Amino acid sequence: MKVAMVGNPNVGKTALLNAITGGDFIIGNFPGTTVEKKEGKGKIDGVEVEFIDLPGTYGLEDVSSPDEKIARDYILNEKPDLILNVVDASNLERNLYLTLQLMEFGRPIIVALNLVDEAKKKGIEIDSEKLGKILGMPVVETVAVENIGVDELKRKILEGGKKGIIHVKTLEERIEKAEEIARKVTKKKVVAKSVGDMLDEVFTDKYLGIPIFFAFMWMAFRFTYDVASPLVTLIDLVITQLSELFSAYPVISDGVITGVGSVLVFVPNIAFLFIALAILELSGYMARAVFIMDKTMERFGLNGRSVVPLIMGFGCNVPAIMAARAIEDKNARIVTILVNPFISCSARLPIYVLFAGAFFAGMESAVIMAMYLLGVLVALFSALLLRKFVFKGEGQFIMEFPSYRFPRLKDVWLLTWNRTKHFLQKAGTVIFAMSIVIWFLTNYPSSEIRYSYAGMLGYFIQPIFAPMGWGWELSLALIMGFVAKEVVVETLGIVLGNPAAIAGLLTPAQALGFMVFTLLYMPCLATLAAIKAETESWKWTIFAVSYGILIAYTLAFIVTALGGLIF
Amino acid sequence: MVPLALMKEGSKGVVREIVGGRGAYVKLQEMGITRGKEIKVLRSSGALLVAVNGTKFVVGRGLAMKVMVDVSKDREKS
Ligand SMILES: Nc1nc2c(ncn2[C@@H]2O[C@H](COP(=O)(O)OP(=O)(O)OP(=O)(O)O)[C@@H](O)[C@H]2O)c(=O)[nH]1
Repeated sequence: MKVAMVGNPNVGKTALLNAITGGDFIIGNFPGTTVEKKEGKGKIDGVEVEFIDLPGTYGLEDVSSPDEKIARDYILNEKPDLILNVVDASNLERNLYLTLQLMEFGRPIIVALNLVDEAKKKGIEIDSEKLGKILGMPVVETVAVENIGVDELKRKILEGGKKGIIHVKTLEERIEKAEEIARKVTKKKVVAKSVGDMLDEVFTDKYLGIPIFFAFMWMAFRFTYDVASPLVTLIDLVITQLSELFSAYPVISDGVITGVGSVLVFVPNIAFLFIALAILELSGYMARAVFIMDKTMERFGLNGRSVVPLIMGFGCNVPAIMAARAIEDKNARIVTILVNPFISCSARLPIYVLFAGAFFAGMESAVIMAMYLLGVLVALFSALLLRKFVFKGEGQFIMEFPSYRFPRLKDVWLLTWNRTKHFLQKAGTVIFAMSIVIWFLTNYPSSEIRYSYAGMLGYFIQPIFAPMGWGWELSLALIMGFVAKEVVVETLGIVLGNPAAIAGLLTPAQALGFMVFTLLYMPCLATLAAIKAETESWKWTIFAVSYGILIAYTLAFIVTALGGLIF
Repeated sequence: MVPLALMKEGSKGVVREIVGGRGAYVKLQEMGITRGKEIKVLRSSGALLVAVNGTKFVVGRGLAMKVMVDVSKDREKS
């Protein structure tokens, strides 16, 4: 038996799916968490039931919206045995519009009246029995996160639902009908101003809103680096130990363990950033941040929705680019994706740490901060250019504010894990393979690097970077960094024996130029794959590479030249 | 009638019309911003923060230009 779950965004479809099947699907508190259909299998009284959780949608008529298309196409083509229409009890009228539309597909339906607890808090009570009679379909009250009503819902699912007895054809009639039905079954008491309203007043305040937003972001970053740092040290220690343990096999110890290890040390940082963001998202704050930042983003041709992907980019660009899916406006979405690699992900930090430490002792933090800032500026100005000349046209932007909710530990974990996973996959596949390749290139035909394949490659490429004064070692590191930026430091380590030895190779100005170049020059392979998948275009993927190299080269040259005058 | 985008913070009105393309119209209808609904502007800075039927929405300025709101004193639910 196939059951399609349909409902407005953020009404708790996924939470209900988890409650019914005991599954672990990711829940968000930000409209548009489910952007692809998810499938979950469950057994009810021994009967195998397949649930398909469709993306949240307000209606099925707007063809331009990918979410609505996925939902409608599914119902039309796959003809599910049953539609489980999840409805927000605190917003019945609007939700009924979709219900009425679903009835036109002629499939049996069950209505799950979810979020009754929140409705009650808002002073809203719904006569679900009467609603069921009017619609001619079973209606079950549920609170998905507390497992209330789930057993009854399961029983009703086995019974199979009903087709409903109302038929309205046009959009206008549906709106009228939804209003009429909602009025008949809803009792509303006046309640005092809710805490949520008060929070909104503060968070969206003209003067307080932006400082509060930056305060939260600052907290998230402190959490990311300070709280995670003991874990980073621990992982580092384990890797060093392991590497010594296998020292008899250089491919493993110097190649794989050192290579993969250099990536694994970021995992705590990335995971902690994503934990902080998950808490902000699940609490409902992120949607407020979207409003607060909209004005600033609009100056650069983006909208408030671009904020979340841009912030996530500081952790890892891959999940960040995937998060851009929540942006409905196609132009704004593609631009947000294309500029995301300029946001300095955590893999680039070790490069800054190494160079800032070697060349700018005493002002490391200022130099590193400047890199992050430069990344943001390049991203925003590139967005502005792209919107002015390529992706023209004003986007339409509307988003519902979700209610404030207390984040549950399990949801924070699921969200964090899902995003961190991409990074680990990268470590396990691309980096693993590259570590072996690099080891091979640097050890053959001669184990003296200068005469190895890697050395030859470095010498071959070096003239391109001669204007900035980078030698073959650095040129080689940049080539290797195509795969992933963390490989840059790794390569320098292998080539120079000790990465800190770069201090003797460059002037401070050249070092600064090199940092700028690595910040901007190219998205890593995993990010490129994400860009290709999300833009569905080779053209824009290639653009991302060439534009990045162009900007990086230009800025690095300027910085080196100017720096030469100053230092 | 004035476009929603030009309404002052704290002011109220009744939605009368959605101008512009069918796309914007359908989207707003589906989300519950329909004719005859009372709409309140909670914040206006770049995008607008509005409340309709107890639900809050962030509406981009572009889209808000397309929502025509009756702000006259004798407005009534039609
Ligand atoms: N209080 C309360 N919260 C709920 C209930 N059901 C879901 N939630 C919360 O509502 C939020 C949204 O739940 P999801 O399951 O992600 O909603 P969804 O409909 O799948 O959302 P999209 O994937 O965006 O379409 C989460 O914070 C849940 O914890 C409920 O019955 N009561």
